[in-house]
Amino acid sequence: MLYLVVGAVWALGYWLNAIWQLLPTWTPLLQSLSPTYIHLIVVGWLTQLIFGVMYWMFPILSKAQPRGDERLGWVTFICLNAGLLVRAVCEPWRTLQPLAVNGVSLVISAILQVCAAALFVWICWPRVRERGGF
Amino acid sequence: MPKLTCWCVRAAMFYLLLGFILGGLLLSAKGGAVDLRVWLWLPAHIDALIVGWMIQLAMAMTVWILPGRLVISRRRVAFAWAAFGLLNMGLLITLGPSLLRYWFPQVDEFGNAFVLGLVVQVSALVLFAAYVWQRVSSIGLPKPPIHHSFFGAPGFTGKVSFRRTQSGGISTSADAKSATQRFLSLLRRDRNDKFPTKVGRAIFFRVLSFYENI
Repeated sequence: MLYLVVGAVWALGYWLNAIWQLLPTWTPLLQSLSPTYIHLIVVGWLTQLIFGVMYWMFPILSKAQPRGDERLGWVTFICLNAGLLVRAVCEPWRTLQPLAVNGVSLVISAILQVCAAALFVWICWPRVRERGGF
Repeated sequence: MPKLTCWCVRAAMFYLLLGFILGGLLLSAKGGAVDLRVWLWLPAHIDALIVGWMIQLAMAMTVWILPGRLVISRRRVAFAWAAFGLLNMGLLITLGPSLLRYWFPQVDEFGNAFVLGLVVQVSALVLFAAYVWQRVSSIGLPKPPIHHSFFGAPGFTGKVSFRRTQSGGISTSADAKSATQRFLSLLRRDRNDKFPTKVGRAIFFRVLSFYENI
């Protein structure tokens, strides 16, 4: 929900400036918020919400370990959020001022997010099981 | 979960991974670690995540969760499978050429293939809508006898079980059948009170005929 709110506020700032140029002195900063705001909403809110609901509601593996190894779930959560937060800071920063440090940070952010997706698939794949129906 | 949901979820997770890997490469290119030409994969990244991951997962959940999965006609079920097949075919048609553009940027036909793939994807979604329509068409009507209102029917004592038979019909216990008939006859008797509008009565009779054929 935090990502949704922050992403929506950033989107509002970006589009208000793009259409009406309300804050000319802030234009470079506001322009640098795209496409980060899209990813805050689509990855930070929507995809993370889907991850959460799938992790919660999909058929359990066993009574002893209904959702598999919980630590893997936490690692996924940390990777996704760390990756996204690094991106939220470094992508606009790199647009404004390309430096080696923000370039490397973006690569780290990409690796963290891909790891999160791979881990999530790893956790949820065995829970997708057929039972009844067509 | 039903078989179709399993297939859709697995395919969706494949596209999630593919879309994130493509996105990771795009972001790394922005960071200066990867050739900038990977930005040719931007459409593939968007299509994989929006259609392949999110829409396909939504389709999977729709098949699983909406009411009436066990009583919907087999022809409609075929619509859903066809939609799944077409959607993934459309995704392959869009993603394949989009990815190949990195190595063969001079081939113009890749753009046409992308549009063709989108057309196939839209066709799949239309087919899926045709399937789902029947499962949401009874919104606003009294709950059909397959649900808990069934238990209120006078004289009902047994356990209800509705299953699809090998021949494609629906089997119920004898007790459930007679209770269904009583429930429907009560509805028919009170139809003018329960459905004061013509449209309401028309929908009611459509649903009624569906359940009377069970």
